[in-house]
Amino acid sequence: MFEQAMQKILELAKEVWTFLAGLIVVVAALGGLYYILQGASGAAFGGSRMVSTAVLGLAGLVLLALIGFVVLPSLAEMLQGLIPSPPF
Amino acid sequence: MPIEALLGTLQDAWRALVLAGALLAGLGLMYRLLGAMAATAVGGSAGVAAGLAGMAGIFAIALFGLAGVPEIARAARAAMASPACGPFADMAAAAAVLVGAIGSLRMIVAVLEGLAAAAAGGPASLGRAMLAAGETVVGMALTAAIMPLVARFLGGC
Repeated sequence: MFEQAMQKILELAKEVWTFLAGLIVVVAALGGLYYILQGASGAAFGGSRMVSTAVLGLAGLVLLALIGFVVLPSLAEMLQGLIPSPPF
Repeated sequence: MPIEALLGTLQDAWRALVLAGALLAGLGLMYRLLGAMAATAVGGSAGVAAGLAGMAGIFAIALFGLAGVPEIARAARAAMASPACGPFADMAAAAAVLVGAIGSLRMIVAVLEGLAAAAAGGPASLGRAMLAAGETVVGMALTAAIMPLVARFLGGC
């Protein structure tokens, strides 16, 4: 009864997922560039605090990107495998 | 036959709602991660913490909805033994099945509301979903208890 509507919603959700993944790549790239700029300028002017902040920020971005592209698909597949049949 | 048709429709609705819940959970996780990454990129630690906590909340609600709610519904239905006697038995059994089906849908709708709130950055309302589960169990127990009483009152047993 709801198959056609759910099929449309599924297609839309796939596109939204791709869009969000693309946005994550863009944000990671821009944030990485920002931190590289900050670290480079800190190194150029002798600001060790700026460099350490930039390195830590870059590491955080890489960690979150790994979560997004390795952990989240696994979690989503696990949730998909948990979809239960009607209990009545 | 009408009850079977109605149950079929409710089962279709269950499948659609559960699939929508899984989709909402996946997209919500992705959205909250994007928020956390954006906060990291501009150096906002509070945003990162909120994003990661939101992801954990979405996952907890999704686990409750996809793994807990069906088990609660099955357990409540299995606990209802011989709902009535005499001519009321069929009616009581059908009423119990319908109450269970509608209650299961209500629980999964409450889970969907919680998922939508958590995915959009609002407070995750796992409590409402659990309240809906409790109401369903109480409703099924009341149905099982009231129908035999009515049957005896009307002299059906």
